[in-house]
Amino acid sequence: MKPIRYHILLALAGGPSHGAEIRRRVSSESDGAVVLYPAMLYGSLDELTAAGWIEEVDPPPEHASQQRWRFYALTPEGRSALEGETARLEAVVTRARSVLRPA
Amino acid sequence: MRLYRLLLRLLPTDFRARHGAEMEAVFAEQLAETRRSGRGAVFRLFVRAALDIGLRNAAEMRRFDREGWMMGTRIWLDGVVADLTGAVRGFRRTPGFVLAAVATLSLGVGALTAVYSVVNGVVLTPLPYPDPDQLVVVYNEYPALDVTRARQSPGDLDDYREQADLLTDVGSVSTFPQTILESGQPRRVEVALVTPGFFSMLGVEPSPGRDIVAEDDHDVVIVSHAYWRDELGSRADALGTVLRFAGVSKRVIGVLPEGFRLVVPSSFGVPESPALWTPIPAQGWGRDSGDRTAHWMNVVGRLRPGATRAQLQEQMDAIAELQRELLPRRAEREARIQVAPLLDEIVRDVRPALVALFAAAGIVLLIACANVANLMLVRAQRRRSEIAVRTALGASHVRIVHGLLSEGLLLAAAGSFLGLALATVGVDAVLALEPDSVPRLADIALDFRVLGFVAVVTGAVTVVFSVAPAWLATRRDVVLAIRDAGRSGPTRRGHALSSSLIVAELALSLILLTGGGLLVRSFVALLDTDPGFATAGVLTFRAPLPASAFQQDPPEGYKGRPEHNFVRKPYYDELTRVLAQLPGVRSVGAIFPAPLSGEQSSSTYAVEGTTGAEEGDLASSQLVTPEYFETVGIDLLEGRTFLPEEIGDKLVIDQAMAETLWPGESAIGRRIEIGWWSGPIWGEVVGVVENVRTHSLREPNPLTVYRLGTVYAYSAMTMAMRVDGDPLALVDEVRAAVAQVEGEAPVIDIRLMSEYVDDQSARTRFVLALVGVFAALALGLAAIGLYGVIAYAVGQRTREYGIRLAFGAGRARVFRLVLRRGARLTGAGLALGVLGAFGMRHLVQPFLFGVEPTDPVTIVAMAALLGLVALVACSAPAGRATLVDPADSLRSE
Repeated sequence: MKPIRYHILLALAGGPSHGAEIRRRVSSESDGAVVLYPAMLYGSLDELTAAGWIEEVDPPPEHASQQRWRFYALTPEGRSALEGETARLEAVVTRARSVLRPA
Repeated sequence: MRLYRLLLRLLPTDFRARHGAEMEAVFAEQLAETRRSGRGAVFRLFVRAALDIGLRNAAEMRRFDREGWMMGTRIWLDGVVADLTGAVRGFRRTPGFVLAAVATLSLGVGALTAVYSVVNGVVLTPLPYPDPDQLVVVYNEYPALDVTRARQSPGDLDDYREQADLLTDVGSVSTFPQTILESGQPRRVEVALVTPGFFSMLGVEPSPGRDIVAEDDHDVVIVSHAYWRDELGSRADALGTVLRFAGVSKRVIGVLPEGFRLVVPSSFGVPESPALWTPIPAQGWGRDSGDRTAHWMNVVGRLRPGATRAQLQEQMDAIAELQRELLPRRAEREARIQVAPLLDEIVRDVRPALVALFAAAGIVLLIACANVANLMLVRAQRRRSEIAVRTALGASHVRIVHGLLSEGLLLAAAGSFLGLALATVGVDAVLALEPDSVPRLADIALDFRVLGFVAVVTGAVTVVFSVAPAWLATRRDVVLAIRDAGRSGPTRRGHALSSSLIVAELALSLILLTGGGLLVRSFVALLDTDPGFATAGVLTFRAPLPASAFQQDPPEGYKGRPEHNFVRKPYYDELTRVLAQLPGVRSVGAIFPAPLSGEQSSSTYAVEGTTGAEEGDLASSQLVTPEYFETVGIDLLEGRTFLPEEIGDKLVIDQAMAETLWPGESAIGRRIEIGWWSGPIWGEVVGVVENVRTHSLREPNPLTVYRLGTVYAYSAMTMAMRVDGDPLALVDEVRAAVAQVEGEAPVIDIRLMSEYVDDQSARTRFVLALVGVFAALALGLAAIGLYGVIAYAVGQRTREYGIRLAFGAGRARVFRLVLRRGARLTGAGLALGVLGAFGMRHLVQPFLFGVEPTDPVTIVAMAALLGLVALVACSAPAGRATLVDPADSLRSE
């Protein structure tokens, strides 16, 4: 899975959100290392929607006033894809540690 | 942020529609964060964002590819369709505006397209032969005599054949009228005389049949496809058919392919489609003897593939050098040989006319564009509040400019379409007007190049007149515009723009009007020119010799070479006698070639005691009967004219020749040697007559020598009869008289002598007619434009005038106020126009006669005319301004 998509899915794992919020979450979770530029962000959102991993949802009640934003939420498929990728990354990290430790 | 918005436009429409606003917001946030980190970071952010959008764009495009490009095209088309339907909707509300704009544009586009069609056919279309670029014209120049494009002798042609190896082929074509005795009435036909291999040089093959070869004499003939079809019944066995001509029979050896046309410079004097083609006769034309006295050949050659014209020119220079060494008179005249592309030579005469007409039509189109731009401007002013509201609601400037451009494009397309239709009609009209002064008429047609030209013009026109309103639309005083909605006058910017457009229009019109005025004056001057001979009451017709009048033996006492055809009996004497007996005929004479007919005949001559006539100077030579001078009123200044029994060894010369050769002395009794087809002939001067203009009305003849023309067979003499009363009433009697003298003799081209004179002004008349039409169009358009601008200004300031009137300003004062505005514009336009007319003077120069291109009278008169028309155009709205009811304006305030 592309890192960008992984980060977006991860950001959405905390609950439905909109583009600007997703960017902020990704930015803060990666300590500013991952920068989502607008076109990349929205392009990825389109692609993830098309893949069925996320879906557009009505704004949650507390954000009802924010008419201009489209809200996205993780679908079950998206969640399992995220879990699968996380497991894969864990495996990668574990092996990497075992290789790197002696040095 | 505006930059980012622009960048966003790069993205596909649907993506932008879905996410555009959010992306802006996200970017704004990013920008705010980045600003804290300094300018460099902001710059890097923009670079990254641009890259980001670019990458996304590529990804979206790939998606389009996957989903089918149809999708993308449809989205794009949807935008265009939306723009266009918007434009149509707008137009439907203002049909008057649309009608005015489309009509104006169609006039402009029509004028330019018509002229371009002619330019395209004449100049741009390649000649209808294989590898036309290899075809060149070769001619002589005599700088010392100020003579250029001189014809050449058979000896010259031999030189080129033998020494110019960069020419794969070289040949000559001229024309020679002969009387054909086939199919009923004897007819005079133009027979083309060509050298062997002429058709293969052009790249044309007779089929069926063969080209002319070196062994052929003038008893063979190649016929045109039309002649084969019409006269020989398209018979497959037409080859070998014998055609009877006066004096000779010719066997058909070939048929030219259908559609073949001879496209050569008009100076060759050869028609485009001669019916019959024969080799140059072996006898009497110096064909095989390398004669260098008679210069009558029009030389065309084909350049060897790969060779350049410059290389050929070098070769010709070398040949000219040799000729100058061999022939002293050539050295004296600094004779040169010039090579020029065939096409260039063909269009040379007509080029100035085409350039001038193209400029004139271009001016009309510019004026039309300016008018439409003004209309659009007024419209844009009216819609200013609408546009401002749309801007306020978030429509981008680009969007609005798109809309305006769509409107412009629609108008231009409609105008061009109509213009194209007008152009087709216009071209027909042009061709009907004066077919003779334009070469290659058959090549003039609407082809893809013309259509492409119209498309380009349409695009250019759209841009030209959409730019102004679009420029206004980008104004940013949205609030101001909305607030002013409904009551604003034109903005300062729009005001200045439409004023300058009007000034430009008036200036352009004055240029055209001045051109037209100069042409009118030239035309009048041409009509006033005295050709030196009387034309009133003179009836003419061509009377070629009938077959029975020929004989091979020279008359007694004839001293020229014997191989010439001679007249068996005195046909012209007989004809003269019979015609003179017709009622009302006062005098009858004959001449060859007919004056001002375009046919010219020149001979070399030399005075006794100097070099021989072989290399003498050129004089115009004319064959006449004794009574000719009296018939057309050419005065005898000294000596006598011819006596009927003389046989050609006596000469009459004109005053110019007498004064040049024997200044201050009598020319009578002097002897001159004349170069002749069949060899030099000595003649004695017996009379001197006044100068005439028989070559061109525009300038006096070169030195002229007259000979008695009754003895030579080739003289298709023109009979001239001075008649009391209506000359044309005599036509039937003339025919009867000719039939009485010689049953099978043709009578051709019966016309008044004055018609030859009228034809002389044909080219000027042709250009004058077109420029006149264009100038009238320009004047009308400019007047309408001025009227529109002033009327609009008056409409906008109705309240102001009402208030002025309410406060006691007289109506005359208001009238003057409006007029003063019109006068200011007109004054500026006239001043610019005078400058422009000076600038364009070289364009009209070639068509002027007896008037300078900067003639102050014409310029002042035309400026006055334009001023007057402008005044009239302004006075209508000015009058309306005085009728404003002050009470109304006060109430509405």
